[in-house]
Amino acid sequence: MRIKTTVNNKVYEREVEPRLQLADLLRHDLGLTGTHVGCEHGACGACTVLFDGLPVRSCLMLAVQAGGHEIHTVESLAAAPDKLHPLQEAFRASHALQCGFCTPGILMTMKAFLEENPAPTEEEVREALSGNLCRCTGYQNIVDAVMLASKK
Amino acid sequence: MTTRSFGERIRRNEDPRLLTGRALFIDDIELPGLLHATFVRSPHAHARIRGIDTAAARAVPGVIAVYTAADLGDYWKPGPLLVPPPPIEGIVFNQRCQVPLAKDKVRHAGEPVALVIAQSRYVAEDAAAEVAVDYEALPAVVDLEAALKPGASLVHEDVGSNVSAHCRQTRGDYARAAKGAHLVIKRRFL
Repeated sequence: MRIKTTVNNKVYEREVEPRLQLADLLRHDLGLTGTHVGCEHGACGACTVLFDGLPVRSCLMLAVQAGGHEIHTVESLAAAPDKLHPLQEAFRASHALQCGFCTPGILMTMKAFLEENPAPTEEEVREALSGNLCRCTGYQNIVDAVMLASKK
Repeated sequence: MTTRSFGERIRRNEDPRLLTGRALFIDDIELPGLLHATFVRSPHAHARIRGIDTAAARAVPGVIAVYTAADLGDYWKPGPLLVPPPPIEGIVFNQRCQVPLAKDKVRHAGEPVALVIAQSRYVAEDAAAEVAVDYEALPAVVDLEAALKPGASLVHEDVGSNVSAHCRQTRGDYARAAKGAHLVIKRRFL
């Protein structure tokens, strides 16, 4: 099937198999490997991207569903490689990542969350983070980073 | 000595790459001619493999190869013992390391039985579903104590029991210490 989708403000036209996962379209066809695939069944949140501004699991969506829609991946956050988004700055300052595998999914989930709730409580941040698994840093520093970002 | 790393938070050099999606994880590497592998895994905890038919899987367009234990020839051998047992006198240690692909029988659910190599992950998964494994389900032991009872189904027949390792370590004079203790607690740890 032929699809036309906008990813990080760039329009792509691609011929894809109907069963191609959105995550695979992003990673393999478009080369945007910042989006990570962890569990492949929607449990870990590593593949989270923004679909018309809302966070979705790109491993649970088909590429064809992205036709006519706007996708934003972690690659869209920083204005330039040396100019991090405030959320990214906060993650760096708070040591909110270790191996960094879960980080792109968490950043995209938290970007949408902070737009919806710019001044969250720590409790609300933890609730919003509950769909993203991190297996190395633990969550405290991630919560700290989101709180820090919300105060910027 | 430099004081650069003392008394202040140090920002990690690798973070900008990781935070902007520009890091390179193994799965991010895309090379020309890159092939994809997927494993056919056992649905049984314990079963004899009567036969594996890979013909249909090999016939799937885009499949490069399908391997079973029989195809590995001399490469088929148990993996190395990564953590040797401590040197305890009289220790019983029945070393049985994991094998690359199950041969003759499977010993746990999910044990790899065949390996499919294809031009894409999608094709590899399609072909893996076409591998026909003829299993004869065997009784599984899923309880530690039941596994040690006589007549229990054996994970490794050649060992003669399900004891993986057995060792006894003593130090000091337990009998005397127990006699003098104001309280003796008895527990079993399984």
